[in-house]
Amino acid sequence: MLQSYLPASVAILFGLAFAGLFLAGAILLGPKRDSAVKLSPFECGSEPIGSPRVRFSVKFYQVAILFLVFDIESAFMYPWATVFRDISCTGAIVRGICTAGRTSYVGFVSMGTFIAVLVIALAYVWKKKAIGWD
Amino acid sequence: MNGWKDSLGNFDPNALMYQLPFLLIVGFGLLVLVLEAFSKGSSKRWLMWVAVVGIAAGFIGAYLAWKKLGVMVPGDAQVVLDIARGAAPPSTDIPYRELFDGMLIFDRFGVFMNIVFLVGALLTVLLVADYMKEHGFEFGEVFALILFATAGMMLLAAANDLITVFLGLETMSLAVYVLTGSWRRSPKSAEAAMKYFLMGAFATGLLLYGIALIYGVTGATNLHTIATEAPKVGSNPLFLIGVFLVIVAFGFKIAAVPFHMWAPDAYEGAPTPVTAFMAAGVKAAAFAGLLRFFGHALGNERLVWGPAGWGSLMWLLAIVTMTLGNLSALRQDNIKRMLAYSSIAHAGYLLIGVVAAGFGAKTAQPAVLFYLLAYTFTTIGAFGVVAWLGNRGDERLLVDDWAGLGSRHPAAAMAMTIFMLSLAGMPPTAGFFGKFYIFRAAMEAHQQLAGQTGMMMALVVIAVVNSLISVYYYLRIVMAMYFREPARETSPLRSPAVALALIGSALFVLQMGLLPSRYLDMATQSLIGR
Amino acid sequence: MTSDFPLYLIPLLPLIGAAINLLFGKRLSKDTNHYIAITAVGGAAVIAIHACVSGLWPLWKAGGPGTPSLTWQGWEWLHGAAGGGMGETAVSLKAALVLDPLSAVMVLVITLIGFLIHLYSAGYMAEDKRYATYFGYLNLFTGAMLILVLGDSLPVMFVGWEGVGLCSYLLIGFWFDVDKNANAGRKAFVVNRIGDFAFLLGIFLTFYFTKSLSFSGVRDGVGEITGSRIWGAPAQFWICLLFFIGACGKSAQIPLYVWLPDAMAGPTPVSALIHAATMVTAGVYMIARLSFLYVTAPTVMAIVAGVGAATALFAAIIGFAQNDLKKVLAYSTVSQLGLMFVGVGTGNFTGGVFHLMTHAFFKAGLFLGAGSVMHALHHAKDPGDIREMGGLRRKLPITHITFLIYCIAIAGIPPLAGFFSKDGILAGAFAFTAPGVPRFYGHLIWAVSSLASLGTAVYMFRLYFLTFTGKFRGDHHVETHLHESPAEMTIPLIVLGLGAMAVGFVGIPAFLRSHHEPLFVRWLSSGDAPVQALALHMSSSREWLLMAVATGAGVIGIIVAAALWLGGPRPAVVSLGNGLGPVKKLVASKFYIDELYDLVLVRPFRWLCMAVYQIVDRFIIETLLLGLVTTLVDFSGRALRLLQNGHVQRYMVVTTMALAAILWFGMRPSDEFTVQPVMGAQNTISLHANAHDYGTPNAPQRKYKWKCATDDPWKAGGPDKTCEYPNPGKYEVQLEVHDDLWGTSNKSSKLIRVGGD
Repeated sequence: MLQSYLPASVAILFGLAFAGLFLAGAILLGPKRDSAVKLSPFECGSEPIGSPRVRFSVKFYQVAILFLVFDIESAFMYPWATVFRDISCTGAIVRGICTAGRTSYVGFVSMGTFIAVLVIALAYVWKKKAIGWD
Repeated sequence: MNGWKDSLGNFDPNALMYQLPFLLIVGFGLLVLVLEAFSKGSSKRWLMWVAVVGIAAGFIGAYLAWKKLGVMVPGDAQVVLDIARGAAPPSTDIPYRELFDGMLIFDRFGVFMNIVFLVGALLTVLLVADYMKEHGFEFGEVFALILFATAGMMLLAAANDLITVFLGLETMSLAVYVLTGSWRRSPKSAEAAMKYFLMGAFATGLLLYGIALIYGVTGATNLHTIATEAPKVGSNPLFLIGVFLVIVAFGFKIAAVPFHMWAPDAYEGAPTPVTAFMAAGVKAAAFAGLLRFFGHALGNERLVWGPAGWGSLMWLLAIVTMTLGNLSALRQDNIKRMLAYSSIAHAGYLLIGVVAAGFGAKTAQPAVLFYLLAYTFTTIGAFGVVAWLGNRGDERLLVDDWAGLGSRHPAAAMAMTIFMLSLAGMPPTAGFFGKFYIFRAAMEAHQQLAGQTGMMMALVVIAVVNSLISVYYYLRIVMAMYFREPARETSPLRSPAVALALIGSALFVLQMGLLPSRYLDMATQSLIGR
Repeated sequence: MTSDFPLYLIPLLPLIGAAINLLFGKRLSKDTNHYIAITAVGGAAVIAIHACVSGLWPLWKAGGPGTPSLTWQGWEWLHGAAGGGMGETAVSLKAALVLDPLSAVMVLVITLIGFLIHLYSAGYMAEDKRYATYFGYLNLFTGAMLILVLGDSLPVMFVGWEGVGLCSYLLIGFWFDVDKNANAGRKAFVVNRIGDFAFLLGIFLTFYFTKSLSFSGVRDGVGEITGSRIWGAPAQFWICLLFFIGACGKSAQIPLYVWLPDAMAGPTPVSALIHAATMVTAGVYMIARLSFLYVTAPTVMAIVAGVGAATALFAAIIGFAQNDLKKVLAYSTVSQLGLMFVGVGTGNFTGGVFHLMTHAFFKAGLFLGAGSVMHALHHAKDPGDIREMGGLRRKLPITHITFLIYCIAIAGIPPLAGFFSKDGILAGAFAFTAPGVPRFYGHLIWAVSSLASLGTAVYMFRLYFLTFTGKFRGDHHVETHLHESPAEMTIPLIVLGLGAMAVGFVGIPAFLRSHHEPLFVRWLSSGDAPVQALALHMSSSREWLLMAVATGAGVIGIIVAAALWLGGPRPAVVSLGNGLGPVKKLVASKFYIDELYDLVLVRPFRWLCMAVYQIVDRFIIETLLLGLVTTLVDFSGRALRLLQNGHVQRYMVVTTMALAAILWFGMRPSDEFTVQPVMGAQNTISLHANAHDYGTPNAPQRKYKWKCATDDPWKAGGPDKTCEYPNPGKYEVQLEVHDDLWGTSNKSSKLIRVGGD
């Protein structure tokens, strides 16, 4: 089994060797004429002056996390939606799981409970002023 | 695979009865959260009583579920006695109910564990309210978080599928991470939460990886299906790696050496009642999961590896955990740290029970359950006394701070002595019988191996030596309390709730040491169904 | 004939009192302290009386099969299985209590006398700083003692047995700021441990044979014991001997009596309750309780009687030369306990228990009286020295009268309590016969015991005359402060005095009542007799003679004492005493028994300890082991600290390494393979490659190559292989396993022999 990885490891080895070869070539063969401007660090467009640790307001993270949480929670509704017809017995009845002609509210109630819990969480977050900026 | 539709289509509202404790705890958790956000006034202490009512409701729910699951051996004390002595229980009679397409299983094992969690939550809630007030950080969310963590534990104890194992473990852990850091002004608390979270997240990753590998090989996440597949795929290395990863992830949660390193720091930094909750509840929940997956589903050497399947690895973990936990505890001067290492050592003793269960020792499951109940009372009691003694800005965590407590506060010193004796496993306390039953289960496993290997015997010998070593550091506190001159004035918490929790747990520790049979019988009836 | 009764209430009340006083006592007033303690014991007494009068008495009157008893089923303490040659037996140990006629006697004595002594203590200890603690211990003791006598099984009895031992230790050393007192407590504890150890061994042996620990279970299983032998002797011999050694420790018999005189270091009411009336009689109670076992071991009974008689005489002689009030009483107690053992040892179990009961009254009274005297003399340098007393009868009238009654009672003068009980024991000893014990042995025991009771009369009245008659010989300053004790101290004295006069009548011997068995005997031997007795055959003329001798001994003793010490020591007596210098010195120094023990036992033991300490502890343990261990622990501590340094990064690294180690360890292919030949059909052999080390056996990535014989070529195959050998002979089978995943290969081979020889 290990043998089947042999080509991969050969490729990796070659990759490393080539990278090393070209770096070494550049260092050994290339001309070296340094100036102050050339030696200074540079960033795309912005002046590299000041502390590298720029402080962001923690509120960014807070909002980002809350967004993520509610976003993912709502994503749970997609798989539910795809089977909603079946579990409500309004679509094609696959196997005799529904009493004929009666709509099942199981699917509806479960998602309702889920959303209710989400609403409680939202109410809590709102009341705690975690959504507003100030 | 239309199975889950079937079960939804046949959804029986009566089935909700089995999950009554879980539903009640979640409901009250949400209620506390809403009340916290919408109530006026700065003191949130009254929320404690809401939580207490919720937990009381949880107890009632557990009682109803217990009754509904029926008596395993109806009214026949002799049969229960026979089982306690090692006779095979009439396994077909173990009542259980699988719900949600086998994602959850409800049996008396789960109900018993629910009771253990509820006890832990109740004691923690009683302790934490006045502790927070004294130390100046009052967050009402703490009560909600304790309830949510408890709900996670209940989910874990009822898990019949690796997915629900994961869900329960995460629900519990996330709440406990936050609880650990709930003392926001204390840098130690924040540090503890950070470490616990990082290491916990690492463990979660390993768990998911393990689950994925197991799923990849067996094509199932259902514990029962995995168990039936295991002998067929036992030789597949990927399956073994998956199982090992799950063991390691659980090792994190129970703080087994060498995955324990977060524990002393996290235990020391967390607010003391939360530490108690972590040491008792989280550990108990993780052991519930271990018993379900390893002790039961993969038990009886369904996993072909080494002389004892997964037990060979857990055997090693048990030895290392006991020994290193105890040796490290020997030299601690900080009581919380000492109790943290002690808690690690106790995880080692409990692992013996899991290994014995894996070998098919019939007494092992009840022994672990009994131990967990006893340990919950004892360890929360011990941390409770620690929490009770400190004041704002002066937590009094060093052994020296406890000198002369016996003459100043005889009742508290007596309670602490009871807890220390119980941790050390001395009669007439619950801890003695906890250890006794675990060792007996190990000996039963030894007999079942019929001389094939002396592993279990070696385990018992090492455990006995370890519990002898542990006596030293437990009695050190007792010695300090009774045989040394008082160091300085103490002004412990004046709190009826804390007093209630301490007295209650001390009485239960004594009662379980004096009449263990009643509790053992209850644990004996609480076998894992299916 | 049993019925249920909440017997747990009897020990529970004192235990609750103890808990309150020990935990919160310091915050309560002294009044509250003693009200709680006295109420607790009083309540226990009321319940005990109620249980006896309205529960046990009607059962007993009704007669019928079985022992009349009240039981409390308690709870199941432990259950388990006892292994053995013949399979397992389910064993269930109950923490149950039982009140039968025997324990009823004990319970009544304990609660009633205990109540009086608690009352007395309220006066006696009024000035003490650790008042609450004292009452807490006293209540704890009462509770433990009640558990001891009510216990339905040996373990429950042992719980009480240890409990009273602990309380005795705590109370002897109650004033531990004086070294002497603390040492006395320690001595009592250590000597008692020897006995307790034997008791425990006895329990184990009993369990081994009978598979039961409850008294009824052991009684049913006696056949198992008597049918077995250990080291050539019947099993019951060893079991009874071990139990007797246990009794010797608790009841202060030769050779374990040395702790009791020293135990007088404790407060006087403690001496009265624990070291006279109740705890020290536990040994007698235990033998009476196990009488069904003892009657099967006549040799041990002879030993018990012999030791008892020797102790009685020996302690009586020492009692002569003591000058401390409480020391005299202490030796007197040892002596009287000896008599009780003579009773139980000669099969006269009811007699022994009867003396236990009467003795409890007058000896508790004597101690309390002594306490009252010392209370009056508390200004003296040594309040217990009888040479510094005299003429107290006018100053302490109540104490005097009651003390006189107790002295008459203990001297065995009719019709006080001591007469009946002592006479019963002596008559029983005279008539003692048992298989294998010579006839004259009983007469010898009788003679020694009679001598001891003569001595008792002499020294007790010496004590009385020196204390209460004549002129006060002490300091004038002390004399002016003499006073009678307060009512809470005198009332118990009076009640006990009445008891010492009255309790004897329940045991009037049969021949005085036209051969009706005495009430006490009928009470104890009802039903199938919890207390068995050897038959006592004697003509009434001989009984009259024995009674006359016993009474005569008491009277002569009193006359001798009066002649020598009435009104204070006579000059003649003093000079006589001086003439007998060496003898007196020998006796006064208690025959140098303590010194002998010190020389023979304690010092060699201490040397041994020192040697062991120096060699084992200092050198081997401290230098070698501890040095090694501390170095190791220190090293591992440092090593662990390197890891446990608080950096999460480090933790992660360790964890990852551990994980890697586990995976490597878990996935490592097996190193060794074996070939297990299985004989198949003729000349064919099945072979199986089997991993017996860690690793996955027969994983799919493994390739197996086999060679059935050395000359054969390698052939690929699976883990199983069948080789065929047309010719018998020796062949070498070889197996090579190659693991593709790990790139390892292993070879193993095995020689097999086919067919023929």
